[in-house]
Amino acid sequence: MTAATLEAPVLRPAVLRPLVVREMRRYASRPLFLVGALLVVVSCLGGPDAVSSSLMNVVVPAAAIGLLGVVVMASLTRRSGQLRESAGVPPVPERAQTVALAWSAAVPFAVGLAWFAWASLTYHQQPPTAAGYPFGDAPTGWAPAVLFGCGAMSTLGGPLLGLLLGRWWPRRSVAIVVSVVLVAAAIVMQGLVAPLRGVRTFMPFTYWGGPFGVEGDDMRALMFPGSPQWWVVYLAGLCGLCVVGALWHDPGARSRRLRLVALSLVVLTVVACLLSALTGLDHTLVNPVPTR
Amino acid sequence: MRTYAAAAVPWHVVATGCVLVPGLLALVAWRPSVVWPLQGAALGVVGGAVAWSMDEPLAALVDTLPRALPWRTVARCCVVPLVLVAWAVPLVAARDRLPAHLPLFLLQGAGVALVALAVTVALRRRGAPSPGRRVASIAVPAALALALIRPAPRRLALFPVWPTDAWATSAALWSIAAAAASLVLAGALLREHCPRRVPIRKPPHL
Repeated sequence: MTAATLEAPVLRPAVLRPLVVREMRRYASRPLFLVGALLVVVSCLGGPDAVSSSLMNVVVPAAAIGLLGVVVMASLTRRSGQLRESAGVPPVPERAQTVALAWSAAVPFAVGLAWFAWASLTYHQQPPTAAGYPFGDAPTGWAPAVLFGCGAMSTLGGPLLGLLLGRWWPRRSVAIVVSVVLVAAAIVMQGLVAPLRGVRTFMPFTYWGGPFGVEGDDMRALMFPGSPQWWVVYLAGLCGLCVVGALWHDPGARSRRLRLVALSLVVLTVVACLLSALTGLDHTLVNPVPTR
Repeated sequence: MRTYAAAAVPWHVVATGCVLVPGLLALVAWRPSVVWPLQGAALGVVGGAVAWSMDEPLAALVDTLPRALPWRTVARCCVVPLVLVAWAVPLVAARDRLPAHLPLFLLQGAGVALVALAVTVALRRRGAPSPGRRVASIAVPAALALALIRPAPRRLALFPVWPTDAWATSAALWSIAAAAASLVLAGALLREHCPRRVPIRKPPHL
């Protein structure tokens, strides 16, 4: 029997399906996820931002679902690892559990997609004012890409990062410290520091504009350089790398196919990151309409 | 008590908290109007460090020993002043750059520490050996998310920053939280200290 035929039964749908359903239920019942979902609902009921519409609400799913999802998924992964160790001879290998946990990220992603639907609808019903952003001739698809990247992709990427952390560094404090460091880095790299605006697109969360102000008008709306469309592709690559990285923890999963997928994802991610920084808007735009 | 505290408290957790909190507050002092969510993160770390310090992994053993939970909790409470100093000193040092509500910020730190202590001790009294880690893993990201999102900023003014924010409401909320936590903590410790007496009944034939 070859390695391929030994491998095939482990990841058959009949084996994976009950695992995936169980992990989805576990994720959906976690208090942190439920609190986060409630925060998203409350925020949506409060309506979009009065000046820049739903573009200024992107932090809500990112924080409530994505950031909390880092801790939730790390906890789920850690517990599944502890159960495996205590079981002695587990019925399924670690890679099957990893795949099931990765699929469970569809639960928070569904909330992210629902938020994206709300954000897109409200963006069209209540577009930004003249003093908001985007302004002028924003490229086609710019706003939807920002909403999808900052909002929906965060709800997928956060949990998958938690999966990676839970597999390789299963201590409880790691996910907590990483979430704090991630927020600190995102705040610094959100466009506050002018020289860093061109390179901020390597961050998994960043702003593409907002009331960052200019001299004499500290609430003036700006639009930052880069291509949010390529940034969404970059984020998708990062999500894929998180799953591959988590699978890599199981020595039995390190097949030739996984190596090929990992290499392809690395190339895609690097190229997309470079294109997100080098294409699109080539400099910071300042809204000509003052705020006061 | 000092010997017990020196051996039982997870000092690496306390040290990490005492380094993270001033670091986060230093970032807040750099650009308060933009980086303010990290103040919520620092508060979460304060609560998490206090909660984690109350964990007793060998609870099944120490619960049978003469030193009861109240004594052990008081011994471990040496962590609270340390963490609160790590919270207060950067705030006092940077008070010129921060909103002029230093008493409220100090109250926030004390309130979070009390709430974390009360919740952890109450769960510990119910038999959970290490509830502090769970409390910390919820408190830190939850505080961070709430500070970033600021839901219902007028009614739920947990982390006010702008002059037009509901500062009085925030002070009231944190005062109520601290008072409620104090009552819960006192109740949990007193109930442990004074267990219910079961009356001894005479057998009917005597």
